[in-house]
Amino acid sequence: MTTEPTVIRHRVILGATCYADAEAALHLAVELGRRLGAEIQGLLVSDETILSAAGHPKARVVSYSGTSVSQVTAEAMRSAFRADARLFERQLQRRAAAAALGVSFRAEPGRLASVLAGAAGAGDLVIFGYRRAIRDGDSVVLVAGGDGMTTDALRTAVQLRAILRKRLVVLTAATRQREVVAALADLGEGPAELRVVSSDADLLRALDRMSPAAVVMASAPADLALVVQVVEAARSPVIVPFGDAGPPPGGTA
Amino acid sequence: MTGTEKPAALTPDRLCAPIAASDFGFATTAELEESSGWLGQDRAVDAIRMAAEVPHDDFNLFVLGLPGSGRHAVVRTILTEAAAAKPRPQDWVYVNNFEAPHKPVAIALPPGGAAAFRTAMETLIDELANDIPAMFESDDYQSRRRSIEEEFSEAHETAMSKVFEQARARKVAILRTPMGFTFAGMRDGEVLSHEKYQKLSEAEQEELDDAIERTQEDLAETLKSIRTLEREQRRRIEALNYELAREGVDEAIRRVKGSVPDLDAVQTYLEEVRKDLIENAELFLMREDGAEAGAFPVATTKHYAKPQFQRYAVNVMVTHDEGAESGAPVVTEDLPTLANLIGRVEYASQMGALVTNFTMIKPGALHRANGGFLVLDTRQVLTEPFAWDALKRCLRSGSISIYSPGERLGLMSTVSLEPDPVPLDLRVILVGERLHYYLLAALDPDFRQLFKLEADFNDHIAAEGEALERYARMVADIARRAGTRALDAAAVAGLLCESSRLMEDAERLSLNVDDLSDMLREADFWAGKGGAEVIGPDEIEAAVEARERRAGRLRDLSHEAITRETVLIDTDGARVGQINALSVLQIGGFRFGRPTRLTARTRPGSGKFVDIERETELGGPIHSKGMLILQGYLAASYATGVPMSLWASLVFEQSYGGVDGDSASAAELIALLSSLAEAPVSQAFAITGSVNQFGDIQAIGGVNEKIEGFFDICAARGLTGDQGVLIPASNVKNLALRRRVIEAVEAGRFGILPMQRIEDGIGVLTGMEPGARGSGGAYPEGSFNRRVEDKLTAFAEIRKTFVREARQKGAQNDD
Repeated sequence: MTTEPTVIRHRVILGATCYADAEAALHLAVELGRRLGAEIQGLLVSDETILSAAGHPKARVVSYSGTSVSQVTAEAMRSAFRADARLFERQLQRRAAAAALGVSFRAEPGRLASVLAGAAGAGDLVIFGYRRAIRDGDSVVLVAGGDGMTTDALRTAVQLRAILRKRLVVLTAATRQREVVAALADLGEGPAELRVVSSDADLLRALDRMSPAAVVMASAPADLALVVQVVEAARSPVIVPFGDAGPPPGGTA
Repeated sequence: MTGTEKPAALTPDRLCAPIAASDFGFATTAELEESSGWLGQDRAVDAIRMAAEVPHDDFNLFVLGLPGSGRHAVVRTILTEAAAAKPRPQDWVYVNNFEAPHKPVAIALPPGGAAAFRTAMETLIDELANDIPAMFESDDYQSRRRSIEEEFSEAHETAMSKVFEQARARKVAILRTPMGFTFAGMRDGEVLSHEKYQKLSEAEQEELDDAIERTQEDLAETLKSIRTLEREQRRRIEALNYELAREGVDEAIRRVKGSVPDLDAVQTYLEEVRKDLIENAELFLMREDGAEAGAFPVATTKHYAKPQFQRYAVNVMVTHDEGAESGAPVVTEDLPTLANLIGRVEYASQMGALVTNFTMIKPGALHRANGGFLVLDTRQVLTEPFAWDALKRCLRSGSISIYSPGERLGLMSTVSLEPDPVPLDLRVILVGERLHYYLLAALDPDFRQLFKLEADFNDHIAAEGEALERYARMVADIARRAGTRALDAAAVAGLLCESSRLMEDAERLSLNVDDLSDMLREADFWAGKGGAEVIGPDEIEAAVEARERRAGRLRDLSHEAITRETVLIDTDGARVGQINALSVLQIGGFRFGRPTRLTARTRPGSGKFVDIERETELGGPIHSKGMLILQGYLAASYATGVPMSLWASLVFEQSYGGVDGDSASAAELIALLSSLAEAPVSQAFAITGSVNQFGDIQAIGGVNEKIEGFFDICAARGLTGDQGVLIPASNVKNLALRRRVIEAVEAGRFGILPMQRIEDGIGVLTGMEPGARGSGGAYPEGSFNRRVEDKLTAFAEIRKTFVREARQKGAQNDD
């Protein structure tokens, strides 16, 4: 059973460590923001581990196309972060303005997961941006493995399926299959593809073999390290809802 | 040279064409059957028929003749008959050239086939627009496509998964940065910082560096392989799409091939269409949403009209449907501009630029007339820029190439087309005036090559024998075509007299159909006003009078100036060195005659003649020539034994405009001789005629108007019975005088006297015997000529004496 019927989302927070990842999820963020009536917030995180790695004398970067391998320095990387931040902000404002959405942007140092966790409050939808190596994924994956799956998360997954015109795949524990099917039926959704995962490791293995266009976590896990692992395994944007926000400022629930 | 007999005045029956109602065997023209053929135009008709039937190239025809001679009607009738016997020519269409769109392809089709071909292509596009989306939306296609995509996706994910797994096993973190992937060592699930890295042993550092390098290489290699995999995926999906589109297109094209003529050009084109449709099947998958989707369901939408399918359209240039008139076309182009002749390429403005394509090619008259006949007006063709040149170019090359003046002059700065030339097989008929023909023949070397035939329309026929009856039938035809009342026989006679007057020849009848038609319609108007059932001679007369009255304001002013004695013209009495000459003024289509006083003064001199008109540059060259001729006559006819010792001046009094022609040379000679002979010239007469060096009187033009001009002045002042006009005897046949003059002559109140020689005029005008040289070589004593000769001899004597005295004075002065 779902825990609550509707959650009002205040913000859609799109975070990434580079513009390429942010751009890959920009369309999703704007579309979700538009459907939810939420403000869009961009976060470009100058990840300290990246800067540290770039400070290594033998540090190299491989371009996203794999066609070039070049030396890099911490200073060059900082400069690249600044350039990506400017580009991210500009594009975010342009796209949000076109969709008549409120928008804000921040560039912060830190670790992506922790910065996003710190920025997100109850009622926010957090998107971990990720640029896929191949252009298009074949599905929208709903991870409904843990407790506290919300109808709102399910609805978000269904909306994404419609936005991206992909099939919906639900990764869930065996014990929750019936609940998921019922919740989908409540949303008027046809039968989805259900796959059973018995543990987090099982989940990561499954995602590693899949080619999703986006992954929706049914709820924010207590340990955000799992989200980071999900992002690395899925190699696609991951959407995480952060609990009930109650009524939006100045509105009614 | 006798000059002893004065000329007799002409009898009334010689003053106009001898045509009367009794010459015809009908009461009204309604009884006459429609005439076959064209009166008096056998030569031209044969030429037109030859042009219509001769199969060889370049036997184009130039029809020359006066406007109103029925050239267009004759040409149209003969060509229509000839065209009906010829087969319907081919249809022509332009279609897209898929390899070179700027060079549209021309295809010939059997008569009437163009429309069917166009419909077949439209049906093809409509069918495919419904079928192809359905095929691509089918479960079968979607399943096959998904299979390819999943296969690719799985291969990619497996490769990427392997790289990441290996990286984890090597304790290497793959980090996503603004510059791409970078790498770092990992310990206990945490990325190794630079400080921690420094604390590792050298062996551990080396091992980690090696792990990072291998991961780096593996990732780069895997990412590069993705591009190859993507290309392969794309290729397989394209192959799938091609295969699916081919199935649909092949079936549709097969149906089209069965419904269009089995011609190589058509089959080749359809094969090109097939290839292009398969390669561009996505054109049929373009979705139109919202307002652009249109009001009709997809199945009933005219898909072929959509811009993306224009490339498969068939532009019908010319078609000859079975339902239309059979036979070859006869096209008359009234506005033969370059574009209207050879066709044009139109342009549309898109985003501020001019664009075009093969559907914007428009046919010209040459396309429409191809296989048949094209009738053009010469003046129009010659005055339209580039039209004549384009027409010759097409005839010479045997094909129609479409181009614009802008292209030729290099003024076009936009994309244009070079459509296939269309083979040309037609006969061009140029209708023009004689001047056009002669100028073109003289100045354009191509003209005689391209227009080998000429049809020269007669302006008149001889008014003799059966011609009168045939002419009456022609008049009846004109009346029928003009929708007028029938004419009775007297009206026909009156009309024929008017026709002869148009020709200025009592023995000729005009073939100017337009003039006759105008006259008939005017007479019909007067008949209607008078409530007459048929047009009678009075209506013809009324029409003529009304016409002259309408145009006669200047004539009336001119005559008024004489009758009010602003312009001095005597119509009675006699005076030395003064004579009434006659001139004709033409303004617009109307001309009238008027008398002009001509005077001559003489005195001793050295043989100088002062032609005041010439000296003041008011006289034209023909006038000057007449003056020199009369000097020749004078020099050779009188006092040939002594030097010409005459000074004379001649002038047209109160003439302030130009004077040309030699029709007054007889008057000038008589005025001069009158001055020498001091013999008064009768002012009751006017005289017209040119004279040669032997004193013979020669024919002149405008004799009727001249006579009537003097007659009207005399009539206004009151006819005395002594008045008249002297005309050249050779002009008697040209007389077609108005009834008022003839009636005055019948009543003996006016006379028209023919002259053979100058002596005839001298006798009438001076009342003296001119005198001929006797056996001794001298003119008879007291004769006119004797007085002239004596005066010239006296002038010579005066001159001789003057010279001698001058010499003697000179000698005394020298002494």
